[in-house]
Amino acid sequence: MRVTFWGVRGSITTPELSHARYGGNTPCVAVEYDGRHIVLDAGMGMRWMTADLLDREPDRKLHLDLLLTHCHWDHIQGIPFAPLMYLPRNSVRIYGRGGSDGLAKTLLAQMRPDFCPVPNFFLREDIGADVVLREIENDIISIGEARVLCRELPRGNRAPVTGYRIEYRERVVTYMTDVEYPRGPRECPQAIDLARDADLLIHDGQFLAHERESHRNWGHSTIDEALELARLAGSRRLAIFHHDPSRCDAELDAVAEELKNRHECAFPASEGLLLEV
Amino acid sequence: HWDHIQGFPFFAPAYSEKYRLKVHSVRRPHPSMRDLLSHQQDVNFFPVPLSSLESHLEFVQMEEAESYSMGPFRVSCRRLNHPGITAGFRIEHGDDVVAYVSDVAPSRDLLLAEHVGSGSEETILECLYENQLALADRATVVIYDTFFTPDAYQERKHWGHSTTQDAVEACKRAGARHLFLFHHNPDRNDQELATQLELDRALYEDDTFTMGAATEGCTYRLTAREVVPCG
Repeated sequence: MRVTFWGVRGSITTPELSHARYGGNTPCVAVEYDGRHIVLDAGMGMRWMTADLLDREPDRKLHLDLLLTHCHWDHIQGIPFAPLMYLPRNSVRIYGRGGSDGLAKTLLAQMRPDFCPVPNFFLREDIGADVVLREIENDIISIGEARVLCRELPRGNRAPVTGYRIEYRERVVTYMTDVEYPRGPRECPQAIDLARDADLLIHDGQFLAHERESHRNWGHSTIDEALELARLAGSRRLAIFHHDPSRCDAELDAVAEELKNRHECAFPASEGLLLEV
Repeated sequence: HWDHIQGFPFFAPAYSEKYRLKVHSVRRPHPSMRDLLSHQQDVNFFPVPLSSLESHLEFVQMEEAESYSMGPFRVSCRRLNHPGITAGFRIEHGDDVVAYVSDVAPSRDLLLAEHVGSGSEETILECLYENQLALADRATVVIYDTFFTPDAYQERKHWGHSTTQDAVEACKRAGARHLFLFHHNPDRNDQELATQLELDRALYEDDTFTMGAATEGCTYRLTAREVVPCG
């Protein structure tokens, strides 16, 4: 499996030069295998991801399976700006949970003309890719030869999010973002199971240890909590993800240094990074 | 539109009771600006509702062409040709004027006729163009939507943006001093913008008119119609 990070920043895009190396695009991770493309979250990185894919395969009919962890803006804001969505020859299947209104209504709300400067391709047969939505909760889905486990994960006192475990030919990539463990990862068996023996665990690490108490119920994890989960689950590589918008490149470099002492292979994810699993 | 409001929930002073925030926009029918910003912070999409913001938050609907006092500035607004209710702003201080004209499409095809007075499409388009000139009238600085190249505009007239040529024409007709190209197309990188700017400057600048590309992080001092980079 080839994993590419197209956006690793939490909450809001951060285009400032001080954040350019790790990047300012909001979450989007692509997993490629057998010519298939699974896209994890549709933050602004999805614009770049689909533009790159169209460059590489200009005439092919493309299909994406988009797995959404939840529908906060930073995880869906790339959809209206992803060029692939505008080409009728393509198809996209979107999996997720849609909050109080259901997935369709939630995604359509983003396309409202009051707000959205681009045409609503969901509703227009002439201009959009063929889009199918599928609401999921705790499910197991097949995408080609891959088996994908979808599991509800806690988010402090907020509505739960979905974590994903992608299994393909004995390799495992697990994606867990915007999670907050009310009593630590130790007390969250579904999180440990999802990350068990993962070759690559991509986990929320928005906060530093000293930021934990002042950010209770903000819906994110600390780097320590990500490390603890990786240890408990036996994950081989850990990519810290969803960097706080205030965390500049110099600060993330310091985090990278510290992580070398804490785990065999842990690092802060940066946009543009490509890993083979 | 998202690109013009998406930073609001991340504006730190809005969360502090020490601040008083007034959000001004041109008069619009339902939904109000407060409704729209509230929706952006709906619980399905964002963790903090607008109603929880600790600052003193007030929404002001402006009447077109009327002058409002805001501290040392006088501010007025006028509707622009764009899909969606859109207005540009004119900010006056002493002899200096900043005109913010974005988002705007050329007055060739009417993109939104709602609530722009009555009359034929031609009349409305003329009125909208006069609005641009009124905003930019003898301005020190005009910040103008130059999203499109002429070719790109041909393919996407309904998107609601203009070209550099449109901006220059409006500025020269209005007697404006300096133009900042603005609302850059996300598909154009730094090199492309810089190269195009050099060509445009050679073509359009003269003794009374200069231009540049708006760049984030840059500040300018305006004094008696001179525009000086600082910091």
